[in-house]
Amino acid sequence: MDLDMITLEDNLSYAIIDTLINDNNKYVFLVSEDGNKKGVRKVITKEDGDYLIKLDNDEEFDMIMAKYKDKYKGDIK
Amino acid sequence: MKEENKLRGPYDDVIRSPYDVVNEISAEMPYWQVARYIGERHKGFFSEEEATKFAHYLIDECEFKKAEIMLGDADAEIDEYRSYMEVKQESVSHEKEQVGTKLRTTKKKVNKVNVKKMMASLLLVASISAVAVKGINKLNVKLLDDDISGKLGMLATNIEEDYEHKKTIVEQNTYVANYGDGRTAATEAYDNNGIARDIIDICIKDPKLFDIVVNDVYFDMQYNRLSNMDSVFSYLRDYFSKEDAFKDLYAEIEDCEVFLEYLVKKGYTNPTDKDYYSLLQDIEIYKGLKDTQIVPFNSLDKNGQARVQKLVDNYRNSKANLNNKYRSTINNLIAQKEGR
Repeated sequence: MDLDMITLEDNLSYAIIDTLINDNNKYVFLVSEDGNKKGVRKVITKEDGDYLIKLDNDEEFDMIMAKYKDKYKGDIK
Repeated sequence: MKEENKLRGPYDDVIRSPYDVVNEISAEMPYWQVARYIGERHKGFFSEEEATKFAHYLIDECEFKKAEIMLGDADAEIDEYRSYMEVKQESVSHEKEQVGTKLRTTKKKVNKVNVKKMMASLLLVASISAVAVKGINKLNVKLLDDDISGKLGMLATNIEEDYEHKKTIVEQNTYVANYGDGRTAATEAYDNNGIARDIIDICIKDPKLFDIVVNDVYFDMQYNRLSNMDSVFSYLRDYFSKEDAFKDLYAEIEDCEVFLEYLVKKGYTNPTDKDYYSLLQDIEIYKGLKDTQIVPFNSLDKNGQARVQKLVDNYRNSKANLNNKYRSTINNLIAQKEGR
């Protein structure tokens, strides 16, 4: 299957494996090509296009991970 | 064993393997010990605060699950928690303003199985995230109940804090005399002579309490302060050896070997007896322990604790079996002393 790939600030290529929208914010879930690194980014729109930024704090991270877990509850064991 | 897999236990002279330490995580384990384990296992990764939070979570879970599940899963959960921390670290910014990465994507074909694996790895982190939130909430509640602030430093390797910790352990395990008649000594630590003096004072006032007191001390000392036994016995030996009426009783407590000889001499056991063999084995173990550095029970390694517990259990069982036989003799001795 085709996945969107993006290069982050660490110069590693990440696959966008999922997206979630919560409170009008769009989040993307990323896993590096070698599978060793994972992360979540928030999409913000600027004048010249969309950007990925890191989350504001630990609480936002835990919240969005909990939503991600809920999305696939029971699907993947 | 690789050097990095060696763990320093709560005492510098105890080195445990990760396997041993994981097995030691139980409902009874003080949280600082779990925290220290986690902290040491993941040195440089966990902050002191995070390790402590996770320790609380583990202990709460242990209490909830009554240890059994956690014993097997603790190591795996620690790794999972670690990966949760890594992803969080990677995902959260601590800068006020971020430039961000322009969203420019390319397409790539990825095997479906690999995609599933990627999703599963993130879902695992998501699960830990939920657990971590739960653990931290629990900690907040626990903070209100427990005076833990002074113990947070236990994670650090600071010598002074370590010393304070050892001191606390020693004090907690110090024998607190219960004279068998409802009187209990003050909770402050006794020194060796203090314990011995206590026994003597009580026995002089009421010889009937002698065996109760001595037995209580003997058992408690083996459990808690092996290192003090010799000093106490030495003091008692010195005192009782001067008192004819107490010589037989003194023989009992002089040491295990003398006690065994005493039992044989009195016909309460013999070298073909099962109890005799059991006691002899215990004496050998005790001698072995005496030859090593004697430390408070809680600081012995797992094998040491097991040995001591077996020693005490065997001794207590043997003693219980013999109790009826020798109690009448002791009562006779007391009666003689009192001129009855």
